[in-house]
Amino acid sequence: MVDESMKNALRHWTVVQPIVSSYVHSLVRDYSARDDLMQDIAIAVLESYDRYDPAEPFAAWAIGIARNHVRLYFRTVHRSRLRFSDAFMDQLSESFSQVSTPEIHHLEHLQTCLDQLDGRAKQLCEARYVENQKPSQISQWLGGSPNGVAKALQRIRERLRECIDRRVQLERGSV
Amino acid sequence: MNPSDLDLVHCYFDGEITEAQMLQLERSLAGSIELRQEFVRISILDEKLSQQLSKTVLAGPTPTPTRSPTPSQAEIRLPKAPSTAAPNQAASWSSIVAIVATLAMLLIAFLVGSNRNQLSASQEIHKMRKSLAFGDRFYRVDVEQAVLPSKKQPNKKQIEQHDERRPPKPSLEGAKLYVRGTDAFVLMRFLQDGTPFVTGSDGKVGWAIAPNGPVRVSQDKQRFNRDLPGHEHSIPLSNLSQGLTQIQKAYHVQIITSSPGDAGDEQDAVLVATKKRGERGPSRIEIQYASNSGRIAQMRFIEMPYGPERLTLRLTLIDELTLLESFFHHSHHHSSDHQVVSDDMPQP
Repeated sequence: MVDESMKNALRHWTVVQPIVSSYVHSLVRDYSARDDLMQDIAIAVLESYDRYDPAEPFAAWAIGIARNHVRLYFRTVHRSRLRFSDAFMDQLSESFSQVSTPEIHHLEHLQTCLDQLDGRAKQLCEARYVENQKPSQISQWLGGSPNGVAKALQRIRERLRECIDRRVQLERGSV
Repeated sequence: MNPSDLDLVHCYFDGEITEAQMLQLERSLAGSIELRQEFVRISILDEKLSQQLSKTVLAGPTPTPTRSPTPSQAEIRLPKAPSTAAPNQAASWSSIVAIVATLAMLLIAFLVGSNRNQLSASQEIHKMRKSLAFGDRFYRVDVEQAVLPSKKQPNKKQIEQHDERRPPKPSLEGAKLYVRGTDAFVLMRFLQDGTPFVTGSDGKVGWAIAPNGPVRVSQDKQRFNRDLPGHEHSIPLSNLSQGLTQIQKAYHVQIITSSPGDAGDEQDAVLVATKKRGERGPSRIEIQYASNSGRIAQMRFIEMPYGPERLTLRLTLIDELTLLESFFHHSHHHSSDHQVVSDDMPQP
């Protein structure tokens, strides 16, 4: 039987999970490690929910837990130099704590915007995000220079952002 | 906001940033709220793209490439293993396997009392390598999953290995692998009717006995190693010692052990190796072993490249034994009247 406290914890977690996940995504570049970390973080958040002070924003509290897990990961498992410092991770956790839930909801338009991409852009996205290839690897498949592929991916992300913003504006106008 | 700083943010998310650039990026981000906000927005979009596109590929047909294939791509015909699932279904299975594997690992950690990284990974690997130094081993190979990634375009190596002259590889499912030291091995795969397809090396001569046709031999002892996955990424199943060295180099390693007092000669520890970004090879390797002796009971390779496929396979130790010297020679596995041809000479 799930008690009321656990139900509240799950409700809160469901709302902030995408923001916490993005925070972890921004720091840990290894996909499988990220998945493992998110599971550990979810368990830690639910287990320590009774210590959460409702006067504080839940997102900031959950991101604090995530930050500790990420730090531990970098200290014990992944001693890469390609990582941000602890001090900067704190700074970044503040920035992520300020992300609003509607901002996350706007991404519901992403699929529509993806559908509008041309064939080449779709290929690049698929290579980057489905096959998890870096620009230098993609350029070997699809041609072009690594820098050209990197720039193309950057432009695609910018176009997608613009498309999402346009759709949000349209939605607001129609209300 | 400096455009070059923004470029660095994108480089970072694409996984192509140098150490010096990383330091520069952190300095720029720390000094600019605007850039930090942009970094957050890009991170949110980047993560959503990973999720959304995986879902799209799972849910339905992917866009048709607009670029016509290059001549080399058009010429090759990749063999399709009968056991290979359809890409969409396979991708879905891949996710399920990944989730199940993760849950299984969590369960193991929970049951035996997680004691992560208390032991030095390198010490554990050294112990395993020592345990492999003597005697012969007999393993069974089980293929949990074979996936042909959707729209994956073959690279040059795959093209070389899958030209039209080479027949499709027999399945590794249920294969028997006998290994001695670092060079000698016998791999027995079985066709659907049970006919064996045997390849091996006695440490000096590599050989292959196909069900139809002559016995092929080569002075290159590694010649037929390609029938075993992993050789392209320095993790040949016939040389686990070499594989362990590669794991140390190219993987993040985590050790999960049982509580003190539980240790017997049974497998009581798990090494979990997760591939570092940019490295090649299986995405994850799990090794069950005895922490006191380093004896490996089972290895599990997740998403192991094998030609155009990605295999998830298990290598289970069935027996430790002493085989005859001749067992690793081809003549042990065929009749004396079977024709033997050298693969080193040009065939007419």
